[in-house]
Amino acid sequence: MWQGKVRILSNEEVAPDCFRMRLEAPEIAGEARAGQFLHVRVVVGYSPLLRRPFSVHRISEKFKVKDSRLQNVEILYEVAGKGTMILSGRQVGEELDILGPLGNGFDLPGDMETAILIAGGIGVAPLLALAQEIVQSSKLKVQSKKVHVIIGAKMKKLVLCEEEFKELGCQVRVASEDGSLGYSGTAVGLFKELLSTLNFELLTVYACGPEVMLKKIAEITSEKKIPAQLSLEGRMGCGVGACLGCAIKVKNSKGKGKDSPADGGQMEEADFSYKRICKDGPVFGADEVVWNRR
Amino acid sequence: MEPKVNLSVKVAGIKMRSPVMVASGTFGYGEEYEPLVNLNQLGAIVTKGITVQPRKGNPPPRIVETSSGLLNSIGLENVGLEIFIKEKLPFLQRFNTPIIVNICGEKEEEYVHISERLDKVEAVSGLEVNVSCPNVEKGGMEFGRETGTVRRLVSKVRKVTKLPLIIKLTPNVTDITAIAQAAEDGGGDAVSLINTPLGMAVDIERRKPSLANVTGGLSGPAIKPVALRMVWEVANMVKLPIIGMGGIMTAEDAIEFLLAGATAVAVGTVNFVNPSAALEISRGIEEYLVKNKIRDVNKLRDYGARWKK
Ligand SMILES: Cc1cc2nc3c(=O)[nH]c(=O)nc-3n(C[C@H](O)[C@H](O)[C@H](O)COP(=O)(O)OP(=O)(O)OC[C@H]3O[C@@H](n4cnc5c(N)ncnc54)[C@H](O)[C@@H]3O)c2cc1C
Ligand SMILES: Cc1cc2nc3c(=O)[nH]c(=O)nc-3n(C[C@H](O)[C@H](O)[C@H](O)COP(=O)(O)O)c2cc1C
Ligand code: FES
Repeated sequence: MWQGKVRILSNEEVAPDCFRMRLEAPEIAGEARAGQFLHVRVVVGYSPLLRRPFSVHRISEKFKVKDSRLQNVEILYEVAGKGTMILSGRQVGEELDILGPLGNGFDLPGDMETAILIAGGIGVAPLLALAQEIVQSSKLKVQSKKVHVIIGAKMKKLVLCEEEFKELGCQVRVASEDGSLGYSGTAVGLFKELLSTLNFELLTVYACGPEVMLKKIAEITSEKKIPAQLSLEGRMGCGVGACLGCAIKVKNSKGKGKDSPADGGQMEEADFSYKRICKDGPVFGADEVVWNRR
Repeated sequence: MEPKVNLSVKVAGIKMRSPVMVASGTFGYGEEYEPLVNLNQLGAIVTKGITVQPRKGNPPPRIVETSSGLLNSIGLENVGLEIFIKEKLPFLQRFNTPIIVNICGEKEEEYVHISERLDKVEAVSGLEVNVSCPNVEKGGMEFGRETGTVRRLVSKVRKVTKLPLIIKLTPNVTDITAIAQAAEDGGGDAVSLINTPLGMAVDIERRKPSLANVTGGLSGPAIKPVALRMVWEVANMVKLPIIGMGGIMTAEDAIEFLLAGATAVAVGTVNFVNPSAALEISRGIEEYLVKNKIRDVNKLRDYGARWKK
């Protein structure tokens, strides 16, 4: 974990309102894992007051480069409000105060043979780092062509990172809600279709995107007993586990606790607890999460 | 050689190398910030509020950012007294920094039980009696809004422990000086103020309160003027030393509190933005003293006593 100022090397709009920012950050690049995040102070002053969390999106080939200027980390972000608006205006050469890498990365089972990565919208951000990590790992037997990537977006011009995944050798499929590119429908629809053609054995599903999408994926993978890891979001304060502001409801004793009642009533006190998204996550097992958040 | 100015202070008998402490609930149990901050350089560490039994806390969303502020409704999530002693204190004990345990309860007996238990625990330097948590259904702030209840609670706790007692006051009262006086009358050794004033925010897209608990406590720069005014008022009315807090982000902010009458200060929300803030603020105070040829930080609080309305 490191906090300090790093130089902005680029900050480009890669799709409408979506930016990719490259940072010269040797302290982070050496340590960061896919699924972890950076807590970014978008201004020098206090408006906005809090840092903003962004997933590690891409790490320069850290083992190959010795020159610290080439040890880079990228984030991919969507302009969602005041903080990200300010960030999009930050200039190349300026310094940015970052804290990270924070949280836990994705878990890569050693016997995994196939991986499906499902991205909804800007949720693609941590999944590129994940694909990178899977493909570059010498410990894993999964080959890049057995890494299936589903990119879901509202429309063609919001489809992100298609080329980057292809360069890594992944099998890429695109879903657009308006049908302007690839499968016409949602990432979940395309995921269901893909599942019907695959052998489930030694498969792991990874997903990041809007909560409704993650919830549906959790239902599917739980029914088919496929292990799935989800990268979740929530409002964040400290980012390091100290303020307890980023709570998420989880079932007690993984998978065994009951789900929230279908009538939307309250869960029994003994059946759930709260975890911290920043420190215990942001990656959680799909069958762990209780989906009755507002 | 380093210019020699004295930064050390003594609050309620607790000696601190610097007047800058970290505020309860904003620094976890210390371990969370250890990778980033040299804990040996803090004035004191005040832990998250501890209750007898573990508490789950409130449903999310628990925090929301507001203009120059942060609203929180954590609901006193904590590991509970015994786990705190067994699993959290040993880590903190490794550092050469006073540990002040923030304690809370739904009933008077709970405050008494925790105090009695911690009295025997060597690692603890003092207790901060939280009669000001705005985010729990029962207890917390309920104990801090009337002089009678404050006096009674403090005197009950006083009977079971020799540990320094710092009473943490809520700003959600008509006259905070009367409450501070009650804390003194009950046998408290110091007061800390302010805890968070109650506030709220609404998400107009969802047409719902932004916090699941509807209301929450406001912290950060937005509350600083209110906190400062209360510290000054209390300093002029009661003899107890004061730990001032509320929206301190910079050394200049901290110096305002010290001039207004605080013996020490605590920083909270700023830790989330800049984990090294407490140490930077401490250095900033030192520079200020050197520049203004003031030999001892304890001289600052004499100024507030001279200000008249
Ligand atoms: C672990 C983690 C990783 C993230 N990674 C990325 C990433 O790689 N790329 C990316 O674009 N975004 C990411 N996000 C979300 C991003 O942090 C928020 O979009 C950003 O903080 C919004 O800041 P803002 O000031 O622009 O918007 P604000 O003005 O703060 O908010 C705009 C709107 O978004 C809501 N909002 C703000 N933050 C969140 C949140 N965290 N969850 C849900 N709603 C929120 C607000 O309530 C408001 O309605 C991540 C969040 C988390 C927790
Ligand atoms: C997330 C959060 C949790 C807090 N938890 C506690 C607590 O457990 N006990 C307590 O006495 N005060 C608690 N406080 C109040 C702070 O200790 C402090 O009094 C207040 O935040 C004002 O200082 P600040 O503006 O520097 O944050 C909490 C504040 C925040 C922001
Ligand atoms: S953001 Fe503070 S505990 Fe997670």
